[in-house]
Amino acid sequence: MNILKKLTANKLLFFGVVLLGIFVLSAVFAPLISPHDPWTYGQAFLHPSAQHLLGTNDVGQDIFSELVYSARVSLWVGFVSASLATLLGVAVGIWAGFRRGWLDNVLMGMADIFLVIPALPLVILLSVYLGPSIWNIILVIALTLWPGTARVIRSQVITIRQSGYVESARIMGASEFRLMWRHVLPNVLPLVAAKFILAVAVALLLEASMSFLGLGDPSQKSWGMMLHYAFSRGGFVQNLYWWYLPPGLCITLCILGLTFINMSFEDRTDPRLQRILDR
Amino acid sequence: MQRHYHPAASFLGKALRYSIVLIVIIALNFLIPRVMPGDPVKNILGEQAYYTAEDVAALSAELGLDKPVYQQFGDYLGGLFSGDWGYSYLYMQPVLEAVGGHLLWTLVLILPAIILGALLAGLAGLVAGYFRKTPLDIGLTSGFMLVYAMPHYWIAMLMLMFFSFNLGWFPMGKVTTGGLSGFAYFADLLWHMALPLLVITLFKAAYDFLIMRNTVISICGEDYILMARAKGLGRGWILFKHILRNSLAPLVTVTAIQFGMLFSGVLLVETVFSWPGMGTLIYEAIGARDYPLIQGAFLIIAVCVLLANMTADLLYRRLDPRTA
Amino acid sequence: MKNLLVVSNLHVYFETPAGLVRANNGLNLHLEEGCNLGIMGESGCGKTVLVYTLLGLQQPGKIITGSILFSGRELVNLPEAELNHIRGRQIALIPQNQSTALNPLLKVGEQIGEVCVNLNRPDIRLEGARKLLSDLGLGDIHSVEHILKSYPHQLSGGMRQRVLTAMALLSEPDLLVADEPTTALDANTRTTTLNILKEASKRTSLLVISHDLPALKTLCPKLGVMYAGRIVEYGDTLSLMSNPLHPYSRLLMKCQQAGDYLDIPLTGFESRDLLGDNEGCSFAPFCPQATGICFKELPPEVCLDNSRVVCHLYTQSGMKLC
Repeated sequence: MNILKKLTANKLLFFGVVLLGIFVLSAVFAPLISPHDPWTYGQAFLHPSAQHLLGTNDVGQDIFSELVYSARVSLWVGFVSASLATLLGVAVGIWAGFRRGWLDNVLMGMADIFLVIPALPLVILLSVYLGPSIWNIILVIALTLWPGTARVIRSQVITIRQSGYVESARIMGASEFRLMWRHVLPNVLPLVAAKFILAVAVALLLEASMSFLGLGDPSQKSWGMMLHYAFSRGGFVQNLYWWYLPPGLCITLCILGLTFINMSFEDRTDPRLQRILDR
Repeated sequence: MQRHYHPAASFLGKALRYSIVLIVIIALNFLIPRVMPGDPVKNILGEQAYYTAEDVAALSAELGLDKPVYQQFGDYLGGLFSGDWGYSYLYMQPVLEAVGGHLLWTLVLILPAIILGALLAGLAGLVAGYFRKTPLDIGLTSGFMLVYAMPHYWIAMLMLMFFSFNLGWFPMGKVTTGGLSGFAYFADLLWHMALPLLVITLFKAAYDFLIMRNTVISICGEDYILMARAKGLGRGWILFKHILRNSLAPLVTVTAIQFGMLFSGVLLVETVFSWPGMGTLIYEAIGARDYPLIQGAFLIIAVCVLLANMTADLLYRRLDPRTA
Repeated sequence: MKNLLVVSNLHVYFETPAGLVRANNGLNLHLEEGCNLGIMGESGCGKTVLVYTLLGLQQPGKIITGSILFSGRELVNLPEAELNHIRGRQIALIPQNQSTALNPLLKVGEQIGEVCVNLNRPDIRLEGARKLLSDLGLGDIHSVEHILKSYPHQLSGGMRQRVLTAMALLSEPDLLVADEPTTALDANTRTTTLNILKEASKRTSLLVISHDLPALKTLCPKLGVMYAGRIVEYGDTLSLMSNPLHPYSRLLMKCQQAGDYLDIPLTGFESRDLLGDNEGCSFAPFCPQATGICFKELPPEVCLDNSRVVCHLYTQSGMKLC
């Protein structure tokens, strides 16, 4: 009940969760929602009708069913890559921020390098060689996302580490791991949550971009892949807007949902904005 | 989104860092084809290159694959600096030529977009942050957030469909309708540039707007703004002389740091508009699995992003006297 | 003596998630022309809110009732344009935090210069500013020039203090409000600051907000003691300090004299006590002389010879009510 109250109190959070929830539910209950099997071939380029709500694509697959099933892959890739990236980023960030010294320099050096190298070109370069499997995509995205989180977490850890109670715990002889786990981690969690949500959004867009360029996994259906086919197989030039509009719209709405959720966190985690609210 | 940018203590330190990044990028470029699964010859030459099983040994020798790694790397570096970036079997040109030609067209789009986008985001962010929570702010923020959430190439597709296909106001893509020269050529170029430029400007502005707005809101809460009001200065004066001035540094920094993301977005938009820039190059190279071309593109793009970051550092020094 | 500033029954409330905070709760004070007034109080008593309300710098949405008469002109609910005209010209502020009150990206000279431009008075030029800075102890013309060309972070705290004071004095204001001028300063800078303010008070009337009693003793002949959003005692500084009337003032003076070792109970008053509807006197829970009525009724303001006290202790035996 408390959670529900908190949710409705913060409108931004509410809308974000609702928006995202629609697609998550779509992904989970895809077989129940979609009218056809998205892989069955049929008559190509059909216009929307009662039979096919959004028509069919270039090989006759029902677009609406594709849309529903694509939620699975797109969201899966988004969440898993973001999780990996966040885990890695948090681990590195806490370790570096805590230990300082040469380890910190080395880790942050690596992070900086990956931060500067532009994500999409790197992703392209790696994917071209690794081949189009889903796991390759996930790994590659995670690789480009972890530094952002690591840097931010590290700054926060350094601040926390210098705070009084961590020092006293350390003096009382708490082991390093315990310090990191019990004292530092809980304080870093809000920031981690915000960064995670951001990472999901970025991962979603990256996957869509990769698939659009032809680096996606053809054995899977994602919104990016749908757009890829729509563009390269004649959906675009024939102005079949029911084919290329919906996938983009789904991506947009997901990102909006995630952004709303993130913004609702920001009002609480940003000390400067807080100061203004206080005045 | 970064709120604080802390430049390194010395210029030399920064230069060193960037050099290291450059070396790492080159090393990555060198290593990747050689460690990836598959036939290393194919990995280096690309799938467009045609050769038979008998050629493999000869090619391996030619590519230096039997030499020790450090020697291969040395040769590779030498090749890079002397202009030999490999050969593209897709375009039947040396990679450097192909990439160089396409890079120019990308720059034609990106550079004006950066300036226009920054202007748009700066002004909009200033207004939205200053008039926080008013309908104006809510409208602007919603609008830009919507643009931010849309995949760039999807916006491009929408624009193309709407303004070209349906309304016929703009051409369907490419750079020129051919056969023109002088002023007519220039005007035609601008006509073709309009839509892609609009799309890129819009999504760059969307990135920067949110940051600018947050920056402005932060600044409005600062003591020196309250002091400026206590001094009896006019609202307009405070807005432009203090708030805008102090938000320039973060805006410029963000522009440069987001350059990588911007470049990626441009690549995708170019593909939709058949604009003959790096985007189209990469798209076609991916389709043909022309690895040397992709590598060359990656290298050039990474260097551009590095340069943008360096520029950001320099500019920041000039804008914030505390770092001098 | 003409009254330059008269604050009557000022209430400044604002809504917070925790409830309604009454930062100023029926505040009365007056400042005579040429006579400096000090306001003394602990953190959280509403001093800063008072300062910003005087300048009309509160956020919209703060509920403000009561009256602030400045040279006979009502400031409460005055349109922003007119308030802005008074700020920086007739009422000037020397802010509390000299390290953050200057724009870090603009040269000091520019920030002083914009005051000159804004004042639109041909008799005040940058020359006047230079002379002022020199008078305030920043050295000869060359040093002053160097300071004008510097950025705030390149100056010491003391120099910034002088710059801020000069900016405030440039317009020859009628009232100069100094918000905690000596807080967090080392002994040297503090002495310097007090000298600056003494110099300033030759040209204008000072309203000094502070909890530095010795400083107030030096600068202000009149003193008001603030507690929980009200001025609980007002009078001649010297007589108030030697013979405080209000129980809270007594505690304060005792603390000051005790120095390091305190054997007196601390009041334990915090700003969250400004919440809620206290029926009686806000100090009653902590007052050693509180009686039943103190918890039930708000004490009235009582006029004695040259002082005023807000306390039930003085309402008997025919004392005059103000």
